[in-house]
Amino acid sequence: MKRFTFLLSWLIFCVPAWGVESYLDSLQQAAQSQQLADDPAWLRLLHYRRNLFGLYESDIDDKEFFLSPRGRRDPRDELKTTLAAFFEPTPVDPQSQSAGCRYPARYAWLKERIRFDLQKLPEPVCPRFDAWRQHLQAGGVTMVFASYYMNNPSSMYGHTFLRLNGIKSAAKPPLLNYTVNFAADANTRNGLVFALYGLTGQYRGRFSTMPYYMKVQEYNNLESRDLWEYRLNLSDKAVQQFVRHAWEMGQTSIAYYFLNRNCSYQLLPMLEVAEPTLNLTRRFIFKAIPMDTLRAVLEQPNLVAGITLRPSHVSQMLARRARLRREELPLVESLAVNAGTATMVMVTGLPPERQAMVLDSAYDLFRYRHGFTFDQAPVVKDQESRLLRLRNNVALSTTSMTVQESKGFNDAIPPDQGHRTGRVGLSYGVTTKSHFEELSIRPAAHDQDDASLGYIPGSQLHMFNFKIRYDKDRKTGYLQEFSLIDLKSYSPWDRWMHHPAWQVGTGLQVAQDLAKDPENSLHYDAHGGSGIAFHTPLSRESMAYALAVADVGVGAPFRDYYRFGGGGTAGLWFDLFTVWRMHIDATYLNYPLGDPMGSVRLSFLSAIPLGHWGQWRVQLSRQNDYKEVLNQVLVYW
Amino acid sequence: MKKRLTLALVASLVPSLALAHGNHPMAGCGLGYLLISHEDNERITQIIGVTTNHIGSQTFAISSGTSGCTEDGAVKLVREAEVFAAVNLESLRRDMAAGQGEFVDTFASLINSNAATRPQLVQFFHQHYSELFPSASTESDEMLSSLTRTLTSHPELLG
Repeated sequence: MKRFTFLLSWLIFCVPAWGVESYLDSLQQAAQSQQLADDPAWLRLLHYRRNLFGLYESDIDDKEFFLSPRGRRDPRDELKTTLAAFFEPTPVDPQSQSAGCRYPARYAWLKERIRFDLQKLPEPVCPRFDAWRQHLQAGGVTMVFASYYMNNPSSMYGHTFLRLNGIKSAAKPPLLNYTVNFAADANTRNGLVFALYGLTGQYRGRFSTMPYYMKVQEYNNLESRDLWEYRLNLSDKAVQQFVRHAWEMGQTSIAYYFLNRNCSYQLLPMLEVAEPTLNLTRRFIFKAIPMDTLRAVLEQPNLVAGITLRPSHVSQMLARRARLRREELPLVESLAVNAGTATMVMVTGLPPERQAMVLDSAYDLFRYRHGFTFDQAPVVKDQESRLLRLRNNVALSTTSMTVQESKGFNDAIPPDQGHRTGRVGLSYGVTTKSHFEELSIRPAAHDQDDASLGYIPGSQLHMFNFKIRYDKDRKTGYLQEFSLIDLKSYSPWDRWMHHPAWQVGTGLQVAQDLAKDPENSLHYDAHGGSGIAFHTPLSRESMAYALAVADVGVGAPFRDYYRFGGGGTAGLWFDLFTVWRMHIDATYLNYPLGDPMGSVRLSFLSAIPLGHWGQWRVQLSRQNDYKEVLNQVLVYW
Repeated sequence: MKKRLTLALVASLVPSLALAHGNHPMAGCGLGYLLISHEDNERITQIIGVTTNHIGSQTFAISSGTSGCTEDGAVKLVREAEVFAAVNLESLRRDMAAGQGEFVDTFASLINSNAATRPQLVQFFHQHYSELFPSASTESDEMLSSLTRTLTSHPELLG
């Protein structure tokens, strides 16, 4: 009897299951015969790339993302297992999702390609995903590039994230749209640990969504960075697939590598899933600098439909200041400090439209000085309140021009127009003793004499700059320089913005001032300095500067194996015919500790652009008795 | 200076300066989002109010009768308006004082679904600025409750 019940239950439970099995089999066979596992769309859905051995491996190292235990390296098995998972019963707990709801993008693509019979495999019911998608109301995608902020060359790399634009029928103001952002979950405030972990992929990166206004507050206001919005031309089908994939990725984490698998890079595979005909990721192997990922997007035919600038607080402040009359500036400045009775009387004496302009600028300056943080001192809040009440009293009919309407931003040049971040150089040099050839490779990103378009004028961001030379007379090759990092930020002293000029750098370099052969002068150097820079009327970007510098060198070339000292550096640059850069620099360093030999360095540089792709430089320099003429051809890549 | 240099050095190793901390679930809107202000890197500044509970308090309730929305829709809109006002308080305050700007336009769209009457609503904010922001330290929830009070006599501005 017992045996009979068992048989019966076997019959009852397994007969329908057998039917399911066979439909699953037929789907798996269909997938095999259509070779779906090799389809670019499938490979992209799972972020597979070919590794060094030519085998598939997914960028995603989160086991949870794959349904098959071998999924990360086996597209075929992952596809088979995915199909099988669609047949699993819906979980009872509403928070846990069936495979079709957890992976809506995979489901949608497989359903379309194999043409699921919805009688045999019913469509999954996904309340969580549906509510989320409903709330996003995505009708388009915009790539947003957060530009640099003043006085910080490291921000020249930029940052990118995506914004989901509303559907046309229910167009929301852009501030209310949602963004998709990839960031590392960094749990430390120790900078060195942060850098080390980030370089070696120890952090987990995650996608997040939040309203665009939060990003605008963060970048435009808190950090004062321009936001450039690149509206993408994607079909509705692509946008919907993007949203489905964003849902999949939102529950997944990826190892975060600062250099090549970072915030900007991870947006590209997302776009490739949305539109599998795109080809965005291939070129990014060792480094993915946001500005370069942006260019990869721009190079796709017809992908970018339009570019809009959302100027930062500082950009807006400067644009509004440019509309003021000279005699209004002192009034604006005193209002920004103290909107007391005396200044109030002066303001109310102006015609209403001038009042509006003066008060707008005074508020800009006030905000710039006190920042956008919420916890301001009561005195600061009082000052804000007084300024805004004055502004509120200006008749409404005399609205001042909003910044976007003003001329200042119509001719702003998008950051993608700047030179590429990599640079390679071939040079020929003559010294007092011999002749040499030089090869230089700079992975990133900009120096003070590169065309400043798209970068911070007067700034330098060098990482892993590498130079080797071959002495032709003495038939000797040697390393001339390998810098880990070399930063310079010379922003001109402004009536309202008072940034110091500063520099910091470290790495291996040749001490040519020692009067030894260069192959015997390589040492480890670290230096830093601070000073002032100001604009000169010689040309639009002309600057003069003077800095106090501290320098330490360690290595065999020195007596006692080190030297420590300081001095100063000063110089001037200007442009002839707007493009021909002249740069003169003089540095004096004295070393009271270690090797006592001081150093006097002079250099003159001329740089002429070679189209958009390169630059021709001639540099005359001397360090103590050593003299050199260097003729360089630089190519950006 | 030394701190600045160290920071710059470290920051330069980070391709993105978005030093966002914490975990933002994909489905959330990132409330409680922490930022490090570059004005003062030692201090973590919370960009919005205190907690999500604070945002959820029902200080701003327009009855479904006046707003012309369904109750669900109204509640949802009210919540969005609350979060928006809390995060963008400074920008909103400035725009309301001046009677123009993207933040006040966007805020108006959150409490009034009718684009035709929105400019009047923005004007209304301008006229009632000193009631909405009676003191230097007015918080977003206080502004929203005064707004609810002043708007009850102007149902025409809400739909």
